[in-house]
Amino acid sequence: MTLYDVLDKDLIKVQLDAVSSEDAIKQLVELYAKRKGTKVQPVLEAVLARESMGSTAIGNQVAIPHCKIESIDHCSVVIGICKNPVKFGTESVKLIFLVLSTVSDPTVNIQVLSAIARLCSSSVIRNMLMSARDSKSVFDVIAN
Amino acid sequence: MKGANPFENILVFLDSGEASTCAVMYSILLAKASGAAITAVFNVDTKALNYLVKSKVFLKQENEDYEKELEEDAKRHLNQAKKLAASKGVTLRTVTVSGSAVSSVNALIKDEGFDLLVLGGIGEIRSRREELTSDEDRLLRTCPCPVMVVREDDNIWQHFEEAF
Repeated sequence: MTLYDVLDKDLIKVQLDAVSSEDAIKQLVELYAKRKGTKVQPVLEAVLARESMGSTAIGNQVAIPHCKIESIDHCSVVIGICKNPVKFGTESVKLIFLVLSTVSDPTVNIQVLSAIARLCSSSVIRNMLMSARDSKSVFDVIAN
Repeated sequence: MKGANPFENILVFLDSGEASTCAVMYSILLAKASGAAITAVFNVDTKALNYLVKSKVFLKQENEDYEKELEEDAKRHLNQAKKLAASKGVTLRTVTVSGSAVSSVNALIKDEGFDLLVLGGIGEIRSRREELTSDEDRLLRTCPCPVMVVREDDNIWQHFEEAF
């Protein structure tokens, strides 16, 4: 399993207009819930519960909020490119990769999370993602 | 090369994907038909875990929890491979390694003298990045012994059911 396997153009939001990290996460969870036909609240609560243990900002304007969800059977990544930076803890963030993982497949969860962290270690990739105008461009940058 | 068989000691690389289950099934049939010994290896990717802590994605507690879960995952997949082999009257040995899959598996091949590595999960290139980072692709290129690639295919499941 690779990052490509869990990428979905319909789970990418560019020009995300959020006022806070909670607001940004909520909008991404809503996008996920709409796409997958699930409820917003349980997923949002799980993501925010993890975030309350410690910020998932990793520097360079990137955050990777994540958690495991009992009710899902496939790992999903929801990507938000913020119009303006939002605060995750003390850090300003523009690129958000929300990773919703299964309880049953830790190997896949690790593969996906580490692939995102490696991807975002490149300043070239980060700049390309931040300047992407649509979800297709984001998808293409990540895939290729 | 030893005797009539070009290989006598097969290693199959297992991860949590269905493609590697196909590779295991094919390897079992190969071992049964050739009389070769077969071992399945699963890598607990502690290198990725450490990277996630270092890059601040994981808290220390998450790292510890995930390490335990990955070890359990390895056991589960290796036991499943053992059962598949037993169903065909083949004895399959299991090995868990940790660290980077490529380094750990290649070291195991050298240490234990495997003469064939069987891999699944290598197919059409959908993403350049994937090609550069997948464990299977990197093993294919760096493995010190011959490599067999098994395509993920429904026929293998059927063949496995019907064979022997």
